[in-house]
Amino acid sequence: MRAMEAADIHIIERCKKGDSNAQRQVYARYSSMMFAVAIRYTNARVDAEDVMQEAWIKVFRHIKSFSEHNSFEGWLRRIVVNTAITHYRRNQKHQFQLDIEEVHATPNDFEAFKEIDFTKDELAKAIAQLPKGYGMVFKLYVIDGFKHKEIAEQLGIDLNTSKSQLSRARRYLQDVLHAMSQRAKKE
Amino acid sequence: MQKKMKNEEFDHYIQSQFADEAITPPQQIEGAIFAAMAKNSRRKKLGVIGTGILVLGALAYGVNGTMNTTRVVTETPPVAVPVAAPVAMPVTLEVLDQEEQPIQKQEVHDDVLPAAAASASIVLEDSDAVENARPDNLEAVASRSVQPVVSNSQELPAILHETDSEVWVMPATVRVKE
Repeated sequence: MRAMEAADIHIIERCKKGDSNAQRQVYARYSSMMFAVAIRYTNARVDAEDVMQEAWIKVFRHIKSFSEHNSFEGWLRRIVVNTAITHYRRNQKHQFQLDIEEVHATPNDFEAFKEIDFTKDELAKAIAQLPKGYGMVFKLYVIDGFKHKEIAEQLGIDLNTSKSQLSRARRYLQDVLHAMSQRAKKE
Repeated sequence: MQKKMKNEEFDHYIQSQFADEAITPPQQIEGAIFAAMAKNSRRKKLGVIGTGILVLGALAYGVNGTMNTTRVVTETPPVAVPVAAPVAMPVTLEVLDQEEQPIQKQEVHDDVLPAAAASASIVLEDSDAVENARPDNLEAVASRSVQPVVSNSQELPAILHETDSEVWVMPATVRVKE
């Protein structure tokens, strides 16, 4: 892991000097991760390709501002997530306004399953079924580690709306996973 | 069948499932990204070249302007001539004084009486011809009261200085009624 990081630092330094070979090496190493994140946020391959292209251009344009003390993968992930959010906001405006009135108390615990044995693809499919507003908050909070304050700022929504969206997303996902589990048992 | 599970545990489970997510992107994306990068780079280079040309042009214009200014300066000395003119004036004054001197002496010699010459403090010069032709009674008066006006050009500053201290030098023509 250490050796990988040292190699990354060397390649990043070359990228900062505009070395196109180094840029292609970075792309080869991280493009799969970037594309997976883009697909997770857009739920559509075509949109994911647009987000991916835009994100990589941002990466190479701003790579001089990256500090080697931080995680390069984390930095890349943030860029692609932010690009996906921009893409999402461009296409989805005023989506959260109705949900603000539907805020309910969030239970501390929620019903889950006796056996959590879903594959990643099954989880991805379940998350993709979440309504767009719910899904966005859930992915940002649970998978990418954003705080509610950051989510509210990024999506242009109220802090409490972010919290309620997350609560509903968990319940919704629980229902979806439960249904999938029941279906699997029957089969 | 279902049991309670804390939100944090569920979140952690989901997060761990997506920790090493990877989906291979279509190959044409790479080409599109690097083509866009190359285009941006070309634009940047053109921008830099354009800026360089502008800067050089501005510098060349500035240098031209400076050269024009220098030429004007070299042409200015004729303008400065009037400034030098007052310096030449004392010379003309000297010439005038030297020319007028014999006339003064001549007139005193012809007409002035001893008393009148003393009261007017006439300045007489020590020309040999005038001294020899002068009567004895006039000679005493002249030697008592006369201040030298200008004997030659080198004495001019001294005379001017005396003039400043209110020592009057009168024209030599003095007529006294009997």
